[in-house]
Amino acid sequence: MTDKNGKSLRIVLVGISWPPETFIEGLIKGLIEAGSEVTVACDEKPAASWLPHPQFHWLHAPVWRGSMAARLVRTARMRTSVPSKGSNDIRRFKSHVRRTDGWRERVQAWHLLLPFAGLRWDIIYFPWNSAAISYLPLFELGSPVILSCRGSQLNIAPLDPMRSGLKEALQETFQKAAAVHCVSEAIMHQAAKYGLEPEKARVIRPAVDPQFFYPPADKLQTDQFWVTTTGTLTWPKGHEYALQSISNLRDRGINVRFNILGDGPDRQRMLYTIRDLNLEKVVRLHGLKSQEGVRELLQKSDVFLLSSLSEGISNAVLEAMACGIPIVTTDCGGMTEAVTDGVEGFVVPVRNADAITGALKMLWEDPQLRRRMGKAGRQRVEKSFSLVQQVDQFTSLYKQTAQASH
Amino acid sequence: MNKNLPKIVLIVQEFPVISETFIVNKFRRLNDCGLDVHLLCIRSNATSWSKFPDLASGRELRNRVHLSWPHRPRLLALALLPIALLRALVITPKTTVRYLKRGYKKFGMDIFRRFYLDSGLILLDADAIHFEFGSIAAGRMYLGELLDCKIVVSFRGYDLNFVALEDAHFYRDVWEKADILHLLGKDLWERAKKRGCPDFKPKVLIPPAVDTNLFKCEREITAGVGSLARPFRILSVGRLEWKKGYEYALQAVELLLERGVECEYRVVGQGDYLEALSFARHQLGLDGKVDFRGVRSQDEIRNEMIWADVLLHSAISEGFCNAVLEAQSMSLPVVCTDAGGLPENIVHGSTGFVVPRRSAAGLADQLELLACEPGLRRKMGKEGRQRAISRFKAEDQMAQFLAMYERLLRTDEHLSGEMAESLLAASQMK
Repeated sequence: MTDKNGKSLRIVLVGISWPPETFIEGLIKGLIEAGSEVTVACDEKPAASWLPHPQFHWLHAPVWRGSMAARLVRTARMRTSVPSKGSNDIRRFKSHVRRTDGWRERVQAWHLLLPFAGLRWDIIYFPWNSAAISYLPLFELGSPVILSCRGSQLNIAPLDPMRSGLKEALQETFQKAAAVHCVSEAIMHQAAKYGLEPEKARVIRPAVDPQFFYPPADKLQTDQFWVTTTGTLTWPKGHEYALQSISNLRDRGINVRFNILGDGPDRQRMLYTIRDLNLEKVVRLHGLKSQEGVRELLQKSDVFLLSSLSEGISNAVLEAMACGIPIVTTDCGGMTEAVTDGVEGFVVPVRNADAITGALKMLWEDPQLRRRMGKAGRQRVEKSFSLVQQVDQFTSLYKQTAQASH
Repeated sequence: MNKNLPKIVLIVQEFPVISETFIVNKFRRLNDCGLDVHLLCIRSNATSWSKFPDLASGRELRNRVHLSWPHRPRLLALALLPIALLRALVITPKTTVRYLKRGYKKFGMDIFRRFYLDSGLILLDADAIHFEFGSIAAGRMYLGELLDCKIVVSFRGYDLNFVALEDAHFYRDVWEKADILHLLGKDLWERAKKRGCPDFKPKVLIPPAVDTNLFKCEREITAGVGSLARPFRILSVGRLEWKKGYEYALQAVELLLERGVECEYRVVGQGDYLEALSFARHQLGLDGKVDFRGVRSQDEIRNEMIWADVLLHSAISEGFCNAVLEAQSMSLPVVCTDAGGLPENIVHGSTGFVVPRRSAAGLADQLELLACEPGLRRKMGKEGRQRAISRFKAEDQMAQFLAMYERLLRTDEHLSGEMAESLLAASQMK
């Protein structure tokens, strides 16, 4: 990717950790392939396989941790290594830092900002709303800023009474950003509630690699009904409703097996509920799996179940569709932008175990329907959610934004 | 104080804790009974003390609360070890030497680490130690042998329902070596057996108690509630955690509104689940109908109970639930789930209704019934009050605890007949 003068676009990703989420990794690779120079600002040093690449750079942005003495020393060291052309940035940051209360908080603000003083890129990209909010002063550096709206940070966090000031902070970032990426139409509408103007918004849906996630050559026929879900073990995923529906199916004499991939803070809750519903022999908590492990399980499964209460748009569902299995998903966030009720699967209301039970039962009874919906899912992913398209959309978003700001 | 009385040490993680007011009450009441009772905790902070002003100002009682020395950072603990050793050797030489001698045989050099952690307990030289929660007792049953004392372990819910579910042997030493178990009710006893406790293990079932003199009110029953002019007032009291099943309560409220019963729902308590519940409230269109009121003092909770028409307890997992007891004592009808000890707590159809857990519709049906029938609310309130007085009075609970300690120490050769008699006398006095 180059600008009109033939120079390649320089992009910095701020607020990530390394190794990044799969979709961010995919984006970085895609951008580099398209000719951009990508800098990742994070604490962990990327693996040696990345660093030698001439278009990949690492900016050390340390995390605020360690003993207080270590933090102070680190901050002082970063201050001394700011290049002389960074003095203007220091002045900008200073006016921001002055507004924070307490000396610890001020040092922390410096600690966060100093790695960026005196450096310039064509695009500053925040893959999360939260990153944009904590790095607010970077909006003043003069480079256009793009940020991403993905899900819970817009759907859930602003409703939490303990996080006062978040709505205002979201508003400010939307106002100052040059462009805002939304993972679904639904998220865009949500962001509009916090002042995102439609002209700035760009919907780019997530993507999967259909070469990696593909349907099995032939599926083993068993008398078991394999239902699978992947996702962090945390409340927005609504796993408790899924477990109730699996319990319902078992009570109706269906030989169901439920695979849960992923780990998270709600593990204990899951274990309790599984015991409480006598599902020890029916449900299996697989924990975290590699991409290959996820694929293997998806290919063995009859249905993918998403019981979420809130989503931006679920990557897990797209991966399952790519593997050619039918979907049962709740109607939340942008899920209906990926699954049409009755075509690639069924869309059911949130917080309703009976509705999930009904949809699963229908699919259990009709293998023909499962095949048809699975096939439709695969086609939809190939057509609308492929990785190549997504990277194209991102590169053109970056390019247009960079050009518009010149 | 009667010098002959045995010394009992209650062990908790943190003290005092507002959501564990029952520990504070028990400690105070045992002391009032004239027992030589002490309390040992690992954590304590000034703000929680300020929530219990009369406890904090009572010197006698405060001197009976002991705080363990810090075990983190390790270097500090290591530096303090010789001081702890010296202190123990001066104050309780016999017990200390016995602890180290027997302990060395059992654990080798590791006994010094254990000594440091146990030194608070060694100093107290107790006749009986009472772990107030099962989770902190696991792996510490060697104390009975090393300190030559009896051990009681209480199970209150979380310890059996959640702690170390994946470890089949987690409580093995407790089942083998505790002298007596205390559980809040039959449900927890069943759960203990499921987790490996043998059927013949000595145990007592003592439910929590409620101060029926404090929790009482002249309730006026309003007819014709459920309208915009006077919505049906629903109250829940408990920490904001997923275990309390508030999402099903919120869905029940949504159903009531759909059925044309206007209602107002207040939840007293705070916790990590506030984010999830705030989201649920918004998603279910209940903004303005539901109020998360945060932590409230005991007086404020009483006022909330006077305000309410019904107490709703939607728990998915529960030990016994003090709020439900308090509601009954306050003549407030209860709608609750069948989680844990709740079916033992209320009487279905008399002091309230029990419905299956995780069932919003089940909760909504019973709430609707109560909203429509003021006579039923009055009757259930009255029967709740009677039940609280006849079954859950604090004085009765104390007598049961004293009888338990008496039974525990009766067989002890160190306990003279005289001591047993005075303990018995103390228990009968109450």
